[in-house]
Amino acid sequence: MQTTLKRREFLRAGTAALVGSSVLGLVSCGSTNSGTPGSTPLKLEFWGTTERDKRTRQVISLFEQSHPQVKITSQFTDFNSYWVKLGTEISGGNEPDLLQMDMSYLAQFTQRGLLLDLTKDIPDPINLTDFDQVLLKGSEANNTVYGVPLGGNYQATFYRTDLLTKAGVGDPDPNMTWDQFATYTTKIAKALGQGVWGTDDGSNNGIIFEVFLRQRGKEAYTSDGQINYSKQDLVDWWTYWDDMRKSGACLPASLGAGAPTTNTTNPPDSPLLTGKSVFHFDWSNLIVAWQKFSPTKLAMTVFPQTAGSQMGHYFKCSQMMSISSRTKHTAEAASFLNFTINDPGAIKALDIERGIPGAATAKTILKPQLTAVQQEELAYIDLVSQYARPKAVLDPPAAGQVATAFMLYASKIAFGQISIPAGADQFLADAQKLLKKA
Amino acid sequence: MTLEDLAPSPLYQRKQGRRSYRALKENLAAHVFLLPWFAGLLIFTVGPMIASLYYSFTRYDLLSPPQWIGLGNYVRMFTQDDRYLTALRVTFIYVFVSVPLKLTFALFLAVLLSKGLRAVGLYRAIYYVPSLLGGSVAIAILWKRIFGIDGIVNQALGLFGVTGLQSWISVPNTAMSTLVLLAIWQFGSPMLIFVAGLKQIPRELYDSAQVDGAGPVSRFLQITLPLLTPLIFFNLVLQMIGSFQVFTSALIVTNGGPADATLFYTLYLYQQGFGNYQMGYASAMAWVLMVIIMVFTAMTFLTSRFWVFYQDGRS
Repeated sequence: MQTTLKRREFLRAGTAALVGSSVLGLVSCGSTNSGTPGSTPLKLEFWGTTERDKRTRQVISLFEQSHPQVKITSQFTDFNSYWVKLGTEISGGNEPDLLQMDMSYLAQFTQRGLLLDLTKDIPDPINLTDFDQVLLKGSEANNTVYGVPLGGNYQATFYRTDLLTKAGVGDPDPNMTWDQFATYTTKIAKALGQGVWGTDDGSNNGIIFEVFLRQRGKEAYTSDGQINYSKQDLVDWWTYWDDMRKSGACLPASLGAGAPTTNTTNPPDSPLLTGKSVFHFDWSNLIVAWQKFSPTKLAMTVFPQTAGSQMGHYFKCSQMMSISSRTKHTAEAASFLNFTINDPGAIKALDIERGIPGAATAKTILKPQLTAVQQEELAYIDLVSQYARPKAVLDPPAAGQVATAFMLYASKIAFGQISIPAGADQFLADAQKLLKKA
Repeated sequence: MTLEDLAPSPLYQRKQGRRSYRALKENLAAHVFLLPWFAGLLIFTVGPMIASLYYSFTRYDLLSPPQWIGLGNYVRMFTQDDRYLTALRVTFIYVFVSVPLKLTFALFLAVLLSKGLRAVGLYRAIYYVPSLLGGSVAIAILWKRIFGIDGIVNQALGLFGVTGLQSWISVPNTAMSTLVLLAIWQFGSPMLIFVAGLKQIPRELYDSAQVDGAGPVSRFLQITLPLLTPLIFFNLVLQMIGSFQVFTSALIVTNGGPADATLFYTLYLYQQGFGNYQMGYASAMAWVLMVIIMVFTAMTFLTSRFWVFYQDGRS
């Protein structure tokens, strides 16, 4: 009995000690970003793919070579998770020093003072003398620079050249109007028969709707963040696409406006690449990725025009690199920003994967190394810039939520759950509520 | 004879004040072993719940400190948010359709499996596996493929000459059905519980009923079902609580579905909290869900006295 008790006591004491020390061990095992003493640590975060990560890491290692006292760690996720992660980090107080920023979130972040005003860092160390001024202006908030655009792109239509040939119609004319587009796509759909439609359904796409509004001479939002279009604009827009659905020119509701959206659009599953639709609306810099997934050749053209109108397209900053307002290393972070957009090595590493770079020298440096698809993209940029004019109004913070409501009502209309005028009324009411709340 | 007459016993001596010290010393090891779990409970469950309750009374967008707005979130939920009411309706439909169907199917298969087939262990395992995997992202992606426009279901129907088929998950009327089907497919775990319960029913009851001339249906309704009611009750409560909180399938398969047809409560909560940076509102929604689940669980418990029959006569 005596020995058994002793063993038990020993076991108890030993386990208690083990548990205790493991708890202590876990406490001390929190990650530390110490680096070597004397070095400046910077944290960089962005959204994108492994392709973009590879290129970004190249830029970082080039920068660290010429700036040995700076050590940059970088992380990336997909677009939707990025904002969740960023929000959590900011609320926890360990936000990154350098963060990639999107135009749709810019107003929200600048309103809360989370981004560093870069005015005093221009032109030194951030040299923007030969930077595309249209791109720069379009990326500002309150006429202040809060981030350096890493690329710009235009709205574009991708289309299947092979299906056009099969349908026996010619390439689309860039000056085609919306009505001509309707006739054109109806012809294609009829020629290609059952199961193939002329175009994606654009009724739930806020991007095209915005271009459509700008062709009518108005921006989507006023400068104080209110809706700037009327019920009639909505009714015209949704009636156009409803007619397209009825005539079979565009995708039916279950494949188009009502199809479940996933967190990241997946090209191989899209109607364009599965051969159900001939025309697809997207951003110009994505042609490279889409062409990779497509066994047949994709070409690009502009959106349909409105006869006798203003130009609808605009050069959009695809993403920017900003500096957190709470960073402790402003000088080094600004220096990295400058390096990213002006250093020839960095320009070559980043290529046009994030969009067309803003520095004038970038275009000359990159031209020799562009692939065929990328050269097509550049050719498209030249074409579409003739159909574009600058956009001067920044989207208000609740713009993303308004876009979600827009998609919801468009899909309700597509499934016939609500009439177009009623849908327009309800959407406008919801949008007012959302904009007021933010 | 009083207690004092028993005074010399060690038990009584312990009661005299040395008890707490002895008890502590004896239970020390137990306390130490429980400590990590308890600390985890406080830090990862209770703590966040209290924080979430606090946030539900604030306006909190993660980017700036929370601002107190009292009952503002709760008022907004029920008076100014149509999509919230949609989410409630969709979730209630899902719970009250899928849970009964799932349990019925589970019971049906449990009865089949208790007939003493060969390789019954294999069948049990096969039917149990879906309930292990069913809530996962991988299965949800698979489900999306199966019921999509080019999925296996449409291809199989095409073999039988059915044409003009839609994508089952992109049409408002059928999108919910695919999710209900996914729920029913995970009947394995309630089925195993029913199998165990069926084993416990004494054979003599069946034998004597047969002697008295009761047919199989009568035997099922008069013997099996009443004796299984405790387990039906158990499964009902558990499945109901679980299905109110379904998230993964709603997010992956339909992402709120065509025109909000499958906008589940937890999915809407997630969209508001993480998509729109409205953590205060999302927290309020989470607490309302907890109250809803509590209410329905309480109702089930209260009504149980009328239909649950315990063999030891506890009803």
